Amino acid sequence: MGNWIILLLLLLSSVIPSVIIFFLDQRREFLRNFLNITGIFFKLLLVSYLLYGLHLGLEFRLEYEIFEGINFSLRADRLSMLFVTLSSVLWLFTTIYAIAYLQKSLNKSLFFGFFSLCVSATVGLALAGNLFTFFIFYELLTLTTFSLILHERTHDAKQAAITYLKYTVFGGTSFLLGLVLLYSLNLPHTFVSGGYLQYAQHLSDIQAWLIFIILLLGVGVKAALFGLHGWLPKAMAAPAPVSALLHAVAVVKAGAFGIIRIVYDIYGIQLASSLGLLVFLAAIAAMTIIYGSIKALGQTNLKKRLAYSTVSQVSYIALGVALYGPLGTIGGIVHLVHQGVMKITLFFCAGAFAKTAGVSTIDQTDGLGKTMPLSALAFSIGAFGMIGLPPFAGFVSKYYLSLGALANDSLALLCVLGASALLNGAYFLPIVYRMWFLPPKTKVVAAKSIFLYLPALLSALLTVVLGLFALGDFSALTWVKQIAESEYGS
Amino acid sequence: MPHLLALLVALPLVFAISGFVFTKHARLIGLLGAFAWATVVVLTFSAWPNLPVYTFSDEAAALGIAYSVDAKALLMLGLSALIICIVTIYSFGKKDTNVYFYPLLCLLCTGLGVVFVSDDIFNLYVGLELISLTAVIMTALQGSREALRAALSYLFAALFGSGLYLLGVVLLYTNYGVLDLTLLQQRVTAEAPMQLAFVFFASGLGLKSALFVFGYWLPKAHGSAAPAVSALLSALVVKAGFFVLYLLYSKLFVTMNTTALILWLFGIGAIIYGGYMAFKAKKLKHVAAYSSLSQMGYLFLIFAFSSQNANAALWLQVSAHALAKAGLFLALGSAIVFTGRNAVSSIKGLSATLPMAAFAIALSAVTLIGLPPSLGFSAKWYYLHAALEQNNWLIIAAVLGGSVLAWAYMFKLLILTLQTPKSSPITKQPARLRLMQYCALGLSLLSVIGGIFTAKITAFLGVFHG
Repeated sequence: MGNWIILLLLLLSSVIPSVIIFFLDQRREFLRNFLNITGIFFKLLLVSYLLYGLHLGLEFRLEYEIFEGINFSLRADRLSMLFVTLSSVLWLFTTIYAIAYLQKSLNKSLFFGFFSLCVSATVGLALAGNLFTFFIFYELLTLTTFSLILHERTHDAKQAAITYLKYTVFGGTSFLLGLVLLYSLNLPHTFVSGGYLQYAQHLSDIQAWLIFIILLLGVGVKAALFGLHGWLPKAMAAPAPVSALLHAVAVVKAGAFGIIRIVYDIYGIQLASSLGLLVFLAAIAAMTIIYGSIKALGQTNLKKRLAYSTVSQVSYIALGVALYGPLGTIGGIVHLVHQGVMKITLFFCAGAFAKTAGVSTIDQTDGLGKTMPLSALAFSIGAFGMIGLPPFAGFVSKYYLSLGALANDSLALLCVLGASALLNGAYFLPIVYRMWFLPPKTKVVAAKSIFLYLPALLSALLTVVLGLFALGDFSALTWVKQIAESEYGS
Repeated sequence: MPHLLALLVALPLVFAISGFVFTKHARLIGLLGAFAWATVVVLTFSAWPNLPVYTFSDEAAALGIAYSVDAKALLMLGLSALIICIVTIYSFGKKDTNVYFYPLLCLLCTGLGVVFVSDDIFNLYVGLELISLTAVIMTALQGSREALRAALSYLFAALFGSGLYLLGVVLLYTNYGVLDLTLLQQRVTAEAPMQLAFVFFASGLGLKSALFVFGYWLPKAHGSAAPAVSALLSALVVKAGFFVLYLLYSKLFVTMNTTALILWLFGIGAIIYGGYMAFKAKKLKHVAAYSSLSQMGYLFLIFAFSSQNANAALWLQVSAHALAKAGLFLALGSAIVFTGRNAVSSIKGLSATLPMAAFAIALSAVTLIGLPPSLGFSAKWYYLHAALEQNNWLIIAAVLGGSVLAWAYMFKLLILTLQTPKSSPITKQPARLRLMQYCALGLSLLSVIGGIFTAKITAFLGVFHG
């Protein structure tokens, strides 16, 4: 069991600050922020070490027999480290942002305590070496994000939290049922590139489909697939740092990551393709993409428009997974990173607009280019990336997804991607236009804090860098290409 | 030590009698008694498995009394000792605990000891009687009219249950002439008198362990007793009745399919009914009491199967519920002492006013709902696997449904605790209140962390390797 201590430390680096913060008095602001930031820096240090170690070919595993015959398993492989790195870096940005955003808020100890636990849960499920371990952290994520949604303690927040609960209880129950069905097959159950279900000897096609649908219902709630997405727009009642968290890093990506693991590391792309599961997934993804974009058009509230945009964009990942072939895979998985970075930029800006200029609806965004130029710039970059314009990160994902659709001879999916790009333009460009070309309607009502727009600028910069230097050695794209290689065995 | 098993019964009895006699020092005697008993339990753990069967005389086992323990009995003894010690410490935090609570506590230890080490059906009766009467009196100690009425109702149920149990004993004894379980096991056949005997045992013990409609007395009794008492009642007393029923079933009546069917169907009824009523309850202790009704229903699912998975599920659920429910009652007790009110709405804002109690409630919720990595999840996992093995989709639906209901009634409480309180939080709590919360937190935390050791627990119980 190689180098397990690093993995344990990686988890503890946010669990320990969380536990301490829960017991801290509300007024111990400095200590709380110090613990948070120190924890994250320590985590980033460990992540760097892990990346370097992986590069050298070291193995990082933690195995503990938690049930008879079932292991609690953590493993650092390429895919898990992709998600871990994304989470940790974006977490740093979000923490800085949250500290500034929640200046005048109450219950900060509870907030930051759950916040840190959220990171731990996300890192845990990224590192999970089998679906059982994944499930443990998945449910922990439900619990921690529930409390965060409830944070403002308003009536809307309470309703949003209850709605979230209804959806995630359904998802969790479905996931558990699927998990039990899967494990009753008595196969060695570690995630394996290329899947392991093809070795199940008595598994009928119908059973394989049933398990897939049940598991998909489970992870689909968090991934906001069509029909299971209802909690997401309502969760906008939470403060902006929470929305940024939920929509860029933790919840939706956890769901998408679950879909990736199920298709690639349990079923395997070959089995999934031959059973027709990919077609099914593609159909659902396509429906979600179009539905989310159309609903986004109809929203006048800025955060709700971004929420429906998330519903649509996360299904790009699902679409990529559903496209057989390395191109589609690359497009889907790299969009996990790119969408995360771009969406968090947009939410950071939306929160800054709300806090500094009282902006909550689209028509209030007029003239923000004048009153809050830096935030408006970051928002514009994020928006262009979402539409898929080069040289931003979003273009790279869309390019590969389109190639993947072509490789599968799917004109329909190509049209879906095209239509979505147009719809994205339709609901983002008006905002950009308003910001830069119309006179301001709102005035600056609060002091501009640098920590409210600095994280947005940093993530906007990342959006540009990930796009411009996509073909470089250290880009997300290159990394994802290596993941795809191991899945297709080429 | 050769006399350990006898000490398990005799030692707490001595403390109980002293407590009744020297009422001035009853509290201290109770505390010492609880810890002394716990010590004996620990010693028994270390002496096992080389512990011989303890006989009181040289009489042949047919009429002589023999004590022995196996892994399951040890698990129950361990849980009992732990919970009783922590509840005793908790009761020191409450100023107005009736002084007779402490010797009664020791009597409860005696009763539990008798039930878990006995090997013959009449001795089991003695143990059950001791436990029931102790429980009834402890319920009545709370003093209010409501508690007295509930205790009376409980008394009738317990006595009726004992009567039915005795009828079963009579049938067995007149047919086979022995009381010892091992001897009976060799002689019992599936003939009609035995079917009737099992019906008697099942209904009598069903009354004592609050199976669905047989548990009509439970919500009032557990809901009006003092929280420390309710903790003991839900966590241990009802489990003792179930333990005896399962012991008899597994040794003598495994072939009785019809009665077993009714038992697990009632179990499903309990799960759903208890969960639903817990959601609708307006008083805090009633939420926990109906939850007990629901969670006990899970235990009765064992009568549907006899697989290794089912066995694992059973004992994990016993442990999970005992720890989580005791913790929940103690946490609710702290809240009730603090706010002075019993209503569910009174815990509004508890996360700010009594954060540790709120946290204990949250942890208990994790186990009762069955979220990983808690013991409750382990139990649910194995129940689902056991049901899947036999394609029993009714049970799968019941287990998942019970979990969803638990989400509903526990999160109803948790959302309340997270809301803004009406009064401002006190910055320093009275030391006693903190002690009470620590006790609650300790038990609830154990129920969650215990799940991490599930493989070790099943290995200890010998569930998977015989």
